[in-house]
Amino acid sequence: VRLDEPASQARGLRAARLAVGCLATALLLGGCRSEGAETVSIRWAEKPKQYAPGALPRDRIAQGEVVATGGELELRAEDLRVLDGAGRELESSVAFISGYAPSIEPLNQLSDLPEDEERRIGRLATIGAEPVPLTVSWRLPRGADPAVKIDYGEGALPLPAG
Amino acid sequence: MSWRRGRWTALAVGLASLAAVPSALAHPERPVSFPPGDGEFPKIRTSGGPKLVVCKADTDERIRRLPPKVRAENERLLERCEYRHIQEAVNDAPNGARVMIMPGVYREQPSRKFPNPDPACEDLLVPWEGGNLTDTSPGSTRMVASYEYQLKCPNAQQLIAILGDSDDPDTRCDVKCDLQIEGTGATRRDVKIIGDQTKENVFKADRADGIVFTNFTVQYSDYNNIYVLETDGFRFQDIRSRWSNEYGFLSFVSDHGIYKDLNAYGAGDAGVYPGSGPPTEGKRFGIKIIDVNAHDNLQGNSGSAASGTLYRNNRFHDNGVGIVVDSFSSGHPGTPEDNVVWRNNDIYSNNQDYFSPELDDYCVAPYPERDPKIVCPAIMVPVGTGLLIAGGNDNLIEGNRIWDHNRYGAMLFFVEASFRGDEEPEKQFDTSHGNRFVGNVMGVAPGGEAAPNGTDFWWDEGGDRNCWSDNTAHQGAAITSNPGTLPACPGGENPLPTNPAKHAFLVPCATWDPEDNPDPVGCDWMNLPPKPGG
Repeated sequence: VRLDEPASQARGLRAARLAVGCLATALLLGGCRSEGAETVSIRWAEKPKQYAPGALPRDRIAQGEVVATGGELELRAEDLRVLDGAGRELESSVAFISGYAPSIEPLNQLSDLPEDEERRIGRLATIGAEPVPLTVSWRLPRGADPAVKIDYGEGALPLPAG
Repeated sequence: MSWRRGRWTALAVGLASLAAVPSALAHPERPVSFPPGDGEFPKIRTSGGPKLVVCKADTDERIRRLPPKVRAENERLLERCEYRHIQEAVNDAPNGARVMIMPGVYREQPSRKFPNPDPACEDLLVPWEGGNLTDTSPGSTRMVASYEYQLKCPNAQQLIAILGDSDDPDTRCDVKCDLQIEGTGATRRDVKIIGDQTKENVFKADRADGIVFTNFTVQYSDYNNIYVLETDGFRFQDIRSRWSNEYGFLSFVSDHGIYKDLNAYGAGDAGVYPGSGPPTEGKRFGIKIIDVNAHDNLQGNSGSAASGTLYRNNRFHDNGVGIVVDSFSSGHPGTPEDNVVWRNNDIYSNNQDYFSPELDDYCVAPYPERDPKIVCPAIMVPVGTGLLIAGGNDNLIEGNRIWDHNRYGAMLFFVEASFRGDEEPEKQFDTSHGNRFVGNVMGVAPGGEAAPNGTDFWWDEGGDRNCWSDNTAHQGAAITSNPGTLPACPGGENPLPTNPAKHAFLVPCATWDPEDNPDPVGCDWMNLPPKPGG
């Protein structure tokens, strides 16, 4: 993962993007909070499975499905952050898909992907009552604490120990 | 802002009426349909047909260097030369004509003057078939050029447009049919046709039934050096294609096509791409790929929905990956991919690493600013793999020689139907069935010495009727595989579940992005494994 922006700037951008996402949701659905003023939150539909790729001993992959309660939440994969027990962000990759779906558009063309393509390849998803697949991979620095959660701005998804 | 984004933004600013920001032609294509399939495989003609001769100011000098017989023929032709640009000759060509391109370098300067995209045709853009067809608000889906766009602005996207369907509703070829575009030199090196790195295609033959291309070199397209679309009957023969941003030779939703005796290299996606082959259900081959040498590309071959295709006597070598066929593309008629046969091909040494940090940095520059001879990858691939079938059915891989791959000789996994835009629940597991790997020689170089693959066969363990029989390794050694035991042919009828861990390991590789995520955590595809046994 290449971090071209300073971490604080990147986090600011993520927050801004999430705010835009919430704003869009607000316009469409009446807010990031539901009518009963309950915060929209997401959770694993079932306990996710966790894998360790043999060729990458410090990498881990968690895969499962997520649902939202209290409304819908639109999320960009790049806005999700994997955190260790001390709250430190780990290098990670996130996709709202469960299998291999590359972009149909050649990525050496440097054009922005349209929204429908971003949804197809799992860069963007609207989380609601129906389960949406989520695959998260992260890299543990040497001596680091295990990853414990995925921060999505409005809340966090716990990661199983393993 | 990227160059391309800047280009579009500038256009948008200049066009108050632009409703949706269009894209360069990408894999996304306009709504298309297969031709009826009543055509034929065209042959190369050496006589007959009206001849339209194209030459350059220095052609006479060039033909003096040709062997005597070819020189004499060219000297006669030169007396009939009427055109300086290929497009001009195509424009005047009646059905059945031969456009004869004499030795020289062709840059098609008049075509380069047309803007891309062309504001004169922006009202003829349509939503791409695999995307959202109803919401065309800016940013929602790709807008692509319709056939009517091509008719009105033929040189916006390509230097040389061969448009076979006149302005009528039948979608069939009625003008520019059965054309032959041929170099007249002694070899394919004598005629060079050079793109400008901004137009998608050097040649595009669209609904141009019976088209034949032969005996020249073509290079430097932003997308495809030669593109054939919605065409029944085409032939690429004796052509060198090199250095295209995406594909050397690409056919799509076409039938009765032949790729023969081609040298394809330097493509950022694939040297050859027989995509969306005709749905022949195994009764005949719609596309034949024979005696092709595809090397030094990201992929020697790529083919989404490359159904009904025969590969025979080809060489796929020294690419990032040798051959890929798949069913993960939306908007590709004919998915899922099925009924492809590979027989007697040499697939070897596909270990080229196009994902180095140096290339990562270099390749973020826009294509017109890059050295076109440097391959920049369009997609993440499992570097060091000979053959990958991602979501294919009823394919036969028989009697091939597959050697010297650091990762896998051959790889097979399933792809969910939702990725191709089909959400029907009963179809989600409809790929990766009935693939047979039979009688292949694994890990043995032509001289008989050992040249092992890291693992001969990798399988995600899912599907039914997938099977492996009579494959042999060096001097009677055992075939290597993951899983360790593979079902012998004909394979089991009961569908097996995919190994979920293997399936999960594929996903991080899909998050690759050269700008934002060039080394996805959890993906090892871009890391070439060490040489096996080394």
